[in-house]
Amino acid sequence: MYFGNIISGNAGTIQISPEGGLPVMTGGVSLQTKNSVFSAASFLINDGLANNPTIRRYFKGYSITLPAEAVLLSNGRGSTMSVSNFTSNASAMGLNGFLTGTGYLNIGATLYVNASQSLGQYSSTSPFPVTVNFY
Amino acid sequence: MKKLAILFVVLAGYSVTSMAQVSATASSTAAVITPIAISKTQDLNFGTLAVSPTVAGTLAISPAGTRTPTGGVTLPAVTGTVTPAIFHVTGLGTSSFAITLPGSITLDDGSSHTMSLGTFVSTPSGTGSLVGGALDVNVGGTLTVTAAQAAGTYTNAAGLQVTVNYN
Repeated sequence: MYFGNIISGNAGTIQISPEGGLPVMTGGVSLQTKNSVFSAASFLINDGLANNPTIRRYFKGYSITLPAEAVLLSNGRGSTMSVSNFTSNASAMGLNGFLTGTGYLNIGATLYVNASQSLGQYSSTSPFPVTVNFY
Repeated sequence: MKKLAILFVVLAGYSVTSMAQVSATASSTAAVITPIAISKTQDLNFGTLAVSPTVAGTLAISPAGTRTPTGGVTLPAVTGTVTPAIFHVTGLGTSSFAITLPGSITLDDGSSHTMSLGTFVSTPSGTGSLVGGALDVNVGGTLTVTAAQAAGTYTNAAGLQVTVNYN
């Protein structure tokens, strides 16, 4: 999940949508548009999983579990920002019921930027998990 | 058929919980960059000009500091201080930025005589790219002089405002 190049200054949030499109900023946070890379995290749900006859035979459907706790991004020099409010495009893909075919499960979230955020390259201190539960 | 039955039994006995979950992980990144900033390092100075009693004119200064008079305006031997405005821009690396110049502003001599200053031009023009996190922007403009413009020192203290934004 990429949140782009954030210009240090105002506190606020950057929300990445799993449906794609430009991020939504609040609080006066601004991005450097030219060099910024922003995207939702993407997981490939492949045929092996969705069309596995065993799974289709014994399970009625599935649900997606997103991280319940905030994920911390650190610049390696003591400054952090937190990411939470994870969302997915599962329902938009029509995946609320049974998995069909192959598709990309996209995960979006909200990044919380502090006032005068210290400069640097921030990355997640540990990767965040996404779980598909069959029932 | 027998084979299938065995398979069925094996699967029925299979731990449902271990079959029922698959997980993957992803990481998240962001970069926080220094804001763009601008400060003035040199004022815009037109120097000394001479006017005609009957013919209006203009005096332009290029971003390089070259004066060009038109109409009734002439340049006397005593030039005075002639400089383009210079702004120092700082920010991240080689980022590009947009430059916004003002429309027109008014200079006055403190005795109700005024001259209009406009048609601002800059080098670079429109957009610029930082080099090693910095770049100077030179600004020139054109002064409009009436016939028989009253003698005096005309100034504008803070109207020449230049704005820069990452683009």
